[in-house]
Amino acid sequence: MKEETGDETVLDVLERRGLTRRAFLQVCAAVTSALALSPAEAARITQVLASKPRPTVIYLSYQECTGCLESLTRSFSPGIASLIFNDISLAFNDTLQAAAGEAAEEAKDSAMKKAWGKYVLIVDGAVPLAENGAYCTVAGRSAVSDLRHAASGAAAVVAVGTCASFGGLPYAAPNPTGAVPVSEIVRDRPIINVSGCPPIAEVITGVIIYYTTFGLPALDRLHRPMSFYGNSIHDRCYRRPFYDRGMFAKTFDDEGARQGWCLYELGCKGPVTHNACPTMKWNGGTSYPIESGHPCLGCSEPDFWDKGGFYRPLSVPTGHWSRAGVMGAAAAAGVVAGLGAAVAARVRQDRTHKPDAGGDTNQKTPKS
Amino acid sequence: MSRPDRVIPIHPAPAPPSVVADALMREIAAALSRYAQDGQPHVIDLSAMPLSEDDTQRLDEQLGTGEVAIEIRSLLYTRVEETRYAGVWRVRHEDPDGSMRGEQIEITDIPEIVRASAADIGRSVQRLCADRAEEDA
Ligand code: SF4
Repeated sequence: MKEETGDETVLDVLERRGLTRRAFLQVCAAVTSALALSPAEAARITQVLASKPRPTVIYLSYQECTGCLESLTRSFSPGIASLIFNDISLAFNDTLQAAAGEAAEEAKDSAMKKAWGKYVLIVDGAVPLAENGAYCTVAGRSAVSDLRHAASGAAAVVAVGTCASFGGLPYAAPNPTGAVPVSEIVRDRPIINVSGCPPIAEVITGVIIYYTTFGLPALDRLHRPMSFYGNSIHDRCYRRPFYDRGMFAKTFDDEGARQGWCLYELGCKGPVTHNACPTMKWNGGTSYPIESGHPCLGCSEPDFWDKGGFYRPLSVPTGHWSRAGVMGAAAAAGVVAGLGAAVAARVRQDRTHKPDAGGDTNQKTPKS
Repeated sequence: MSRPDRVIPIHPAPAPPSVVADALMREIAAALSRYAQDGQPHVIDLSAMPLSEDDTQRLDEQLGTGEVAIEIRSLLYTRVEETRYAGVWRVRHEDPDGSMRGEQIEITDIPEIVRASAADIGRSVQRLCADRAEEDA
């Protein structure tokens, strides 16, 4: 975690550690590459990182499973992005720090005070409102009042993970704790949602570094950065040629599954899910769920847990055809095949899974 | 980064012939003639480009290798290589574990990262003087 000094830049920190300007230029190149910056942004990065005070990041966790932090800290090859994030910017994280109890609370207060009005607040987890917030408290304080206080001193809030972004599993029907996403509590600060259960580590660090160097990135209607969430999984899926030709695996062990055909009929939510999995992949670029033979669960979308079953095919063609402009007759055939396949698969599934259908069909979560 | 040996084999539609390498070569040529005229250096970051394997191969062939190769062992490992065209350089950065962290093509007489910066030279002066003083004592 960062040392206690004033408005140091990334360049200053590297110099203080006895590294040369060459190391700094290497960092700039790696950041440019990790964020796939435009030429104009790339041309500015050296100047920005040499002149802008390094960001202070405060990371708070509420109703969550710590999977997001696991994703972040266990990223396969830590790389430069996490160097900047962990070593240079992170001022407070209650899970990672050695301090506990009152010392930890003190560390949090002093980190906030020092950068009041300027820090980036990362929130991981949903916030329960039922019973006056008693379902999640830290040091005798409810998550909701803690978050209100922390957000009032933040320049921006980054909601990491689907719980913080959209409510996640705590929000799932019947939502016994009255959980809500961060955006329900914080209304007067820019919010960037980095959804996913968990999000890709490089996406988390990438968004934070982008925000602290260039400011707010372009966001989609769900407040997710377009650069990482602009495409659907389906748009970039390497199994897409099979979808377009109507070639679907029907069970997990049939010939189609072995041949790597499209997983649409096995419940793939790729067509309605926006994330960077097919391009950035997981575990240091090893693979992503579809590449491992499993349909996409749609974990970066709101209500993914309450959509009627992970292995149930999407019932209608998705209406999301961002490649529609470039697709011809083959694509149209794909739509038709997809629709027919969905119906066929549903019939088959209903026949085989009748008894436990109840587990899949939770009532809808009440929406505010 | 990805491990092709772990991917379930599929037979994707044949990719259309890529034009990225050609476009890049045109950009390099334009930048080099600009540099020859007014000394304005130019950097192209390859990581933001959708280079296919075919593109990379074509680029390697067309740029070739020149007379100079420099290794920089700092926070990352960087290899700076002149191409067959004087003034056109390839700069590649790698992690200690060998994974690629960025690649640029620079059009300039000598890439910025090779130079010793004034600040670093200043710190060296201090260090060197201190070391000398210690020796003499
Ligand atoms: S439905 Fe799923 S497996 Fe099939 S092409 Fe789309 S994203 Fe890939």
